Amino acid sequence: MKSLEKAADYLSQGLALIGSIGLLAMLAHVTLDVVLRNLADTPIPATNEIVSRYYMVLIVFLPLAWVERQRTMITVEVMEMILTPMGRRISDGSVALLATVIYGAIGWVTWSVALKNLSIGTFVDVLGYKIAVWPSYFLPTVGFFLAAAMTALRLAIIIAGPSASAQEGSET
Amino acid sequence: MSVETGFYGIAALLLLLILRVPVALAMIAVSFGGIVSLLGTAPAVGILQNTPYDFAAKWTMSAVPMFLLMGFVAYHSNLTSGLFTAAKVALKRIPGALAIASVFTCSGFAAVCGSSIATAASMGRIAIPEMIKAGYSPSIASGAIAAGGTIGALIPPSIIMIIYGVFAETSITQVFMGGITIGIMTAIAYAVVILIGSWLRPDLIPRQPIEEDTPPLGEALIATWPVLALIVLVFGGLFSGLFSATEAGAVGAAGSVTCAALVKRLSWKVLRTSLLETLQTTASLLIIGIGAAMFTRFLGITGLSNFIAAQVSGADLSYYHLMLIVVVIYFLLGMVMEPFGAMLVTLPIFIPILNAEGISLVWFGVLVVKLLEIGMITPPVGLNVFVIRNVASEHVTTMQVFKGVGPFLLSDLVVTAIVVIFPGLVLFLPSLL
Repeated sequence: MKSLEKAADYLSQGLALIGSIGLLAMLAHVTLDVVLRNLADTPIPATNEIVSRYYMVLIVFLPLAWVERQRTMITVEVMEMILTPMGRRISDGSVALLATVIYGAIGWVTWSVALKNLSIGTFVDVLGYKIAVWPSYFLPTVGFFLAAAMTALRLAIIIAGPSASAQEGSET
Repeated sequence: MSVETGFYGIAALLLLLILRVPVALAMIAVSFGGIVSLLGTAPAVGILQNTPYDFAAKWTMSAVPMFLLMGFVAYHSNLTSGLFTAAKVALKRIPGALAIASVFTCSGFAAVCGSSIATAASMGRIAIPEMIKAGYSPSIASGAIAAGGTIGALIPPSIIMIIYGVFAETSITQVFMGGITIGIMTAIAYAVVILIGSWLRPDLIPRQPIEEDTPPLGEALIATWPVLALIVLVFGGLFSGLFSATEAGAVGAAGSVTCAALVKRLSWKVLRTSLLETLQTTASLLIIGIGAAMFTRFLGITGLSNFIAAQVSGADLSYYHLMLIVVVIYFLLGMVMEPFGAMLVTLPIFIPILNAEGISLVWFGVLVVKLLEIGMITPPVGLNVFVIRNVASEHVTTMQVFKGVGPFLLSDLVVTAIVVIFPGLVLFLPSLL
């Protein structure tokens, strides 16, 4: 279990790193487009499409596993105060199971969308520039499957026992 | 029949939320189950297949991470430190000067940061110890900053207003303009509360002027240049048409990074923390957006939204009755839910009603954000209060912060009433565009 957790930490930090690079790339790309358009009247072609179909999809889906690993998904905290440790464990376990099923299901159904886009080689046509966008359809699938793996690991830790879940809380 | 399914769906959603299922996953699960029961598996799978990508791959949504990054860089590089000094110098002779200066500093910080939590945290760290040292009651000092933080989401840029604009399909720039008015109204109302408090209870809010050595006003104002430069860059460019509200986020983030570098506060740690916090906030917010988009589809299929809208029209509710219902619902939701979840769960139901009643969606956006921000300081779940408790843990308990927030909550109710009674006030600036 320990080595699995270590692997999960490396993986989620790697995803966060890719997401951060995506953020910086988006910042630079859009700013450059605004500057070039206003100063030299030469906007970067297809900025809108690249931002929405690559940077945004990357930023939203890839870090999901990292967000799950850090347990920073937004929840309603009205029950927090009345749960006993055992009740909390059951609640955490059920939520982790449900999350694994949902992430897994979305990963599964978006996979077929990605394959379909790959087979037809989906692209967008912007003023004569053909931009291939089919690869970006794989990003949600990857993001959801990795998130499912992360919540499945959490479920395993919860089932393994309270001592293991206490160690899980100490990750960075 | 399908309207009934809609009601069951809402009940199931509330149950899952109470059972601590993350807001996004609860919305996705209920919508999927509901659509399966109404239309069958194939259409439900179709919606589940396409909604995540279609929702995330939106140009207007890119403003969310970029404005977040702008705010986080400004926050972590302490770009706004000069603002507090300048506010103190300008207001030093007024009773309760330190608290009023803190509230106005929150407003200034709000112009470079779109989140109320970041605004509260950044001011709480500096202002609360200083106020307590100057003789303020710890409860009032922390309450003022918890409340002042809510201005962060009212004055543009505002992350929650961007997401509202996308969902309500209304102009983000116009909602931003309305936000300026309500942000300033809120700041003035808080200042009045502090003034009245210093007059009634000088033991809690000292009346004497600030005594510390402060620089001359001109010098203090010059030290605020990074914030002023960012405001001029972002809003100047936005309102003069050099770039759109969406692009303003990236330009602002670039400006924030540049200013931080110029004042030699852009360390690797600052950049790394800002990027990670941006990423984490973006992913956890937009996945709720995906859930809300599915939930909107589900409610649309059930016909529930139209049913409720028809009932409301049929019931011949007056404008004030309707608004009272809206205010009470958001007040109750705000007590237990964080603002993005509360907004996205309710908009699919409210927007058809507003359209049927002919109520401006720009105005409603401003009102909803104000109501949700009130929820940030109401017990039992008041996120700004928890943040303040964290940054000032040696000075106050959570209960003390909630108690200190009390007078500011009252003034929030007055501001809300003014916005409802005189909608033209909020709509004046947007009408100039």
